Amino acid sequence: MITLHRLTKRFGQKLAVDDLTVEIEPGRVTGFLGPNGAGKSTTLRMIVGLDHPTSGRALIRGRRYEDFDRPLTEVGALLDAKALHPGRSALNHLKAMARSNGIAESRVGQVLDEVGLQDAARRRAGTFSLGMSQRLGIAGALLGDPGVLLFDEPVNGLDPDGVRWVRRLARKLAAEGRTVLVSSHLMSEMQLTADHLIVLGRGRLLMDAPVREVVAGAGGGRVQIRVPNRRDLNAIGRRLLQESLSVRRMGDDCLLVEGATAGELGDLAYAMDIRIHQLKTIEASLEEAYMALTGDSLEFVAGADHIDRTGEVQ
Amino acid sequence: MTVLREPIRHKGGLPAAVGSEWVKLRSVRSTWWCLAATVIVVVAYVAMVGLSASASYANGEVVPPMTPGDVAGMGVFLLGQLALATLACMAIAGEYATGSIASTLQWVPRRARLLLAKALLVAPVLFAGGVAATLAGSLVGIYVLDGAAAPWSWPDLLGDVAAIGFYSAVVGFVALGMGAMLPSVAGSIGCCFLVLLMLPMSLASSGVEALQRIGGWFPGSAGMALVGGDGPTYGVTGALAVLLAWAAGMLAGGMAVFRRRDARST
Repeated sequence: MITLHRLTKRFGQKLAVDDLTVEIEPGRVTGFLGPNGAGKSTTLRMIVGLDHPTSGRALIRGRRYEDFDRPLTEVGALLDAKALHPGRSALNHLKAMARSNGIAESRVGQVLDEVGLQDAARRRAGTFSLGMSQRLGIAGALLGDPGVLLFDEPVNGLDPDGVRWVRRLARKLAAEGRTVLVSSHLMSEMQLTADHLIVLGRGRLLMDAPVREVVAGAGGGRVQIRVPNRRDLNAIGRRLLQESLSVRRMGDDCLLVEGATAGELGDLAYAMDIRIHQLKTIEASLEEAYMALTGDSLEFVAGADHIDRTGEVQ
Repeated sequence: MTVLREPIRHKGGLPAAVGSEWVKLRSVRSTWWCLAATVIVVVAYVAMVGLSASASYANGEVVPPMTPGDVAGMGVFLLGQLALATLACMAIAGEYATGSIASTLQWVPRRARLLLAKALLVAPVLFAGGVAATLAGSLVGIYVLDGAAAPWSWPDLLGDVAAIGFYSAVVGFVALGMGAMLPSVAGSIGCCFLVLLMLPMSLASSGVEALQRIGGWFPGSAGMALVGGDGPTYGVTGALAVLLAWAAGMLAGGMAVFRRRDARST
């Protein structure tokens, strides 16, 4: 459990984190989202005491990170995979880490195995690819068998196998009852990994809700209906507008309808005796919800954009 | 919630932090390069001065009286201590340069504990470096000075070696404090160069008595007094006090800055 209470960090004029109050619960993966510069990394750095808050508190199980005698057994963090001496071997890096917190050296071999770096252990860390550095960082986070894990952009630089491995690892750690906080830019990845989302924008909390709720809040599904006959298309479009549904014309023979299910639209077409070629439900994605939330210039029809060149509402 | 596996083995605290710093220090090449450089430059200095003195002596010229320990000590003051200071600066400022300070402070988040652990490790390492360089330099000096050497004895020589070892440990504290205050490798080594060598030397040669007296309070001058060289008049006890004050003061200054700073690479 991580508790942030009115957490604030100011760099000169810039407010990086602005009065952030939120609890991160154990037993689930919490996704930490926000555009670049939203304050995610600064928040993570304050949780582990690297940055000093301007005001407010970041507590782990009710205590400040600095107050733990062996903090690595409480919190494991991958913040910056390249934050190590490039001339030191991965093995010595982890040995020094283990020794600093009185962790048995046998754990070093275990975590190296777990992240698949056993063969690279004696290589200098500076020769590692970003993906290998990420694995070494994750090995370090796991070293003290902590109850809280923080991963800042853990899948950066990983290949598809690695991405899946991180996803499974995060899910497994949460299933073991640990608190897992993962920041990422990859919305699709978060949709698969996280149970719960915290979204920051300009240092402020924009949302703290289950992933399912966030996605549903994006307006739910829309249905694409394709009608080959122009007159029929206009007829059903007018009818839907009368029902005050949101309708958008896409191309010559297609409508995008919000607020009705594919079944209802099929029934309506049947009742109006209209021939249709396609009925397709388009699920809202986390990415769309996120874009709507963070107020980027994009509308949330991003996925349909490429067929929307000519089309307009009738 | 599943019960987490019980982690594992003994305590954290200062001893663990010192142990961790030891693994870090010995596992990078720069440490060994600095120690090797210390010994090499001191030996080279002694060889140069000693050969020149013994050549003059053989030519019947008057050479200033010097013992092998004196020459080796001068080698440490003029050259060797800068390599030792580099080692100590790297131990802290180097962490900011590579960004590894963010890792280190996650392992040992208490700044005071971390800096103290580094000091407790760097001091004996630099003591050993200073002793090794002085001893090696003295042995070379015995050989090359030969008849040109002033009268000396083994107990005196070993006393000089120990004194310069102590001085080297103080250099470690000064450089570590400097590195904590100015978290840039080049900046902190440059400032060490000023404090340990340039300022006391230029003040001493200024010819203005007040400035010379100020120069006498710098660590290098106190180190000279410790090995019985000429210079300040406060004697061995005074020299020890001056050196300890520098060690404590620089470490306290470094601590004050280090505590407040966010762990961001420079």
